[in-house]
Amino acid sequence: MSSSRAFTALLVAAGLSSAGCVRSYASESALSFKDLDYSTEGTKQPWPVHRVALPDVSARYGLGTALHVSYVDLPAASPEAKTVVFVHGLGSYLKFWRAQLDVFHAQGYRVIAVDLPGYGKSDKPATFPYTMEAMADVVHELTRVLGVEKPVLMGHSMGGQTSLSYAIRYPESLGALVLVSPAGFEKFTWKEKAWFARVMSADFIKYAPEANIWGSVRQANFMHWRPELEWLIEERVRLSKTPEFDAYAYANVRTVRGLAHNDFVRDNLGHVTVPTLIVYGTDDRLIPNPFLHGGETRDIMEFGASNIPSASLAPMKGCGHTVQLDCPAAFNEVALAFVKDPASARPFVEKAREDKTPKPGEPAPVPGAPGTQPSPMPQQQDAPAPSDGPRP
Amino acid sequence: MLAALGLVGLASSSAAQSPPVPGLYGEWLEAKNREEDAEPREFTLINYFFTRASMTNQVGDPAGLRGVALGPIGSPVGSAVSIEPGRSAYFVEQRWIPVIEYSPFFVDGLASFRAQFEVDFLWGRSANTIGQNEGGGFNADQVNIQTKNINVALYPTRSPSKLALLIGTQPVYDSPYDPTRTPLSDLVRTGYKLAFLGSDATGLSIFSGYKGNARLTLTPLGSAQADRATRNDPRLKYIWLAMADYVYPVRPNTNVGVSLWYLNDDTKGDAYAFEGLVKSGPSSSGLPGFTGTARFDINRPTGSVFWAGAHFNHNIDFRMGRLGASGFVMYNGGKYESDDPDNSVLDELSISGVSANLEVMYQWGRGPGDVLTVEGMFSSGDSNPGDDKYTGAFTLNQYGLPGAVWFNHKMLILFPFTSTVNNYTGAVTDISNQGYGLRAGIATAAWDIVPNTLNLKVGAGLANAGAEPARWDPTVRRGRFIGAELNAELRYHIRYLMTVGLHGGYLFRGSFYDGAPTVKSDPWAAFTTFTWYAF
Repeated sequence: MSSSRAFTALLVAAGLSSAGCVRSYASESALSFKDLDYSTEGTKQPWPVHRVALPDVSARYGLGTALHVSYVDLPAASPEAKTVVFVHGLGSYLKFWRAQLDVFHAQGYRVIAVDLPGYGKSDKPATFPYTMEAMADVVHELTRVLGVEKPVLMGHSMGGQTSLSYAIRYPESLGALVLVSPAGFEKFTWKEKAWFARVMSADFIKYAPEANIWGSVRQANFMHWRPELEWLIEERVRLSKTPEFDAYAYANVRTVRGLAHNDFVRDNLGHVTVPTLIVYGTDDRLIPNPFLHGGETRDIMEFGASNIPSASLAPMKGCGHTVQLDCPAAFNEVALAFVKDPASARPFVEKAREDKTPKPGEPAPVPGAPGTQPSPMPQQQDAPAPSDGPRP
Repeated sequence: MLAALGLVGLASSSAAQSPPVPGLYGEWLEAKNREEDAEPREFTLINYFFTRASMTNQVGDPAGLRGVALGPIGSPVGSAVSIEPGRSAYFVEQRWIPVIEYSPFFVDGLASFRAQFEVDFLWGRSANTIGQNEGGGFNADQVNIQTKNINVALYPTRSPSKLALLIGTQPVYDSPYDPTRTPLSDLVRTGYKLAFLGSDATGLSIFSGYKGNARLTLTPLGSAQADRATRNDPRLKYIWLAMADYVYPVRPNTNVGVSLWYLNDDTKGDAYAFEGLVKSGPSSSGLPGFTGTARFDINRPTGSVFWAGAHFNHNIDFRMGRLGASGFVMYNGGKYESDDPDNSVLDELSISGVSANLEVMYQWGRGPGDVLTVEGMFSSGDSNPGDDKYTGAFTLNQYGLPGAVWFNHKMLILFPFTSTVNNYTGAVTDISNQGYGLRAGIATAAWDIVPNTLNLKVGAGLANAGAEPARWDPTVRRGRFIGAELNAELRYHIRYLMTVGLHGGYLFRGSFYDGAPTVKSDPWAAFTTFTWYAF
């Protein structure tokens, strides 16, 4: 091959291999939050979207008008079936559970996915406090209004911290917890929090160019990008053109402040009493914070698992932060198994504790006796490693 | 939006409560209350602080520039970095560059004022000084504080990313982006990688971001009263550079750009390039030794040079996937004529050269530092830079000290290293390679041993001249092979934008140095770095 042909081949390969023929949505029309497509991925079957007023939360936080939140409610196959409530993360909305809602519903569960205040189709009042405790109160009141007694809360990232706050303060109203790449475990000093507050602005969010949106959505959250995920980019780019986006951007600013408010969740992990599964991607690019801390996600998640009684840990090898969309099949397998039988999950045991094995001469523990480990989840052992799959 | 996900992990508790507000005011407040938004700042200070402790067998300390080493290894003039076998120097250098930005609220986003200074230290002596500014160790009085940039930016639309007018002394790079609002790492990757232009100059620039990114720049690079003595003519003659650049994003994170630059020089070689130390332009006898450009034997030249180029970059931040690439092609042409042909070897000098670069990057792991790179650089060469046709690359190193340092190459000795205080030395300090042309290949592999914290990089590179170089020693045949470098770097990120590094490189010198009087051993260097961008 001549040098000029090799040069051309390299250019073409570079242009096509990694990004493919991605399109720009910058010139597309504006998309209103209320017009977000909440539907099944393949069949485009619309999910039933409801809105409900939350008077208790509105009164508790002194809102001038009643807060309304939107949610999807897929009925259970039987009255005895469990209810799984999905809580999204910062900067996202209930559609981030698109690979889970129908799957869990097909398993017979009642499925509720909520748009937290400020996000998706819910109200975006500037005066809502946007702390994780206020968010948890929203989830709590919503489940109460919908008549759900002991839901399984499944929270991603900020939704994980919201779910933890719920679990700590309303333990009697909870069945189990699934924390997906949860926030709330990592330690930040007050100076770091003050820095967050100083740099986080609505303009920063509003005027992010499309190229940066690819970075914050795809690069930061995914290790296994697929073309069918491009709605994440399209909706974000088009949403930024709607007048309502201003309120959304400010809600993000306040949410970051809310996240930074204090260490309530981190300091009270020991008060989580329900069975808890912590799922995380080993290639998470957001936890720990890449700018301030660096290091391994595993260390952060193991801290959380070691402080929550009976928490179990499910690392997803080679997956990123939004693990439920990045590695949906493997995630669903692990999460479904836990929701089906939370008691069967194998609690995380720190290495230091593991080393305290019985010395020779000491009586061996009796399987099944209090304090011993239950058998590992079979589905975890047999689950295909996502890293074995095709990479972008 | 989701960039904010980088901030996750913070904990919280119940919020401060506000009293219920009845009536319309409550509704209005819920929609409009923005009291917690981050406020813009009137005054911004960014500090760049850098420390480097070096050990090397390279000798570089020209008589005119204290503590400064510039130029290609083995150059017989100028900075003249030679290699002394069996001996090594050790020294510690420091640099502080404060950048001050003041945007008074009362101008309501219409303008910003910026000032940028530079203070260099070399422990025990002064640094980056000329003439008699020796001293700076004991007593520590620094007399060489430099004004790098003083400028005012006007934003007619009050949106700096859409339209900005920059007036004054300013950074001038071969990138189309506003240097006052673009990280340096982007500036050196999205244009021509500083291979042609990367310095400071006084002038006017207009940056537009309406449809793609566009820049128009007009900068006088130098002036002289060229005919004052001979013709009693008081008029100033100028060197001025006009640049037009445009970059269009054909896809998100895929950009294609074109450039057309024009330089006109009426100074007849009388303008100075660096604080009166050396003259600039193609007739300069002192500058090529410092910057590694070709030397032309033309007296009192006037003329013009133009550059026409195109460049692209694709996914260089890995936002779209694992593979990224960038590259450029640049043609330079022009002509100088001697105003003193009777005493000039060359009556005129025609210029026609081409350069090209391609870099392909692959992010193999999770972290931003898990990257493999392969890069090639080409510039046409001239086997006889002394004749009236120059067929090599023509860079702004012909007019500056330095005017163009291609430092985004990941080599330490083969080409000038980016993390430097007073040393821009290398085997090739200008892509023209003293006019002989360049064919270079570079490969690196980096690994985030601890993600976002500890990174190890190893690299290898080799370079060839494109044309037969003039012999150092008439009796010794001189080859084209410049050398092959092996290097390694270990970096530890202490905090955000605060990094320490341990770097080492060794250059296996090639036949390019056969017969060289000053390069009798292989160059090597080992050094530590401490870098902090504080803002």
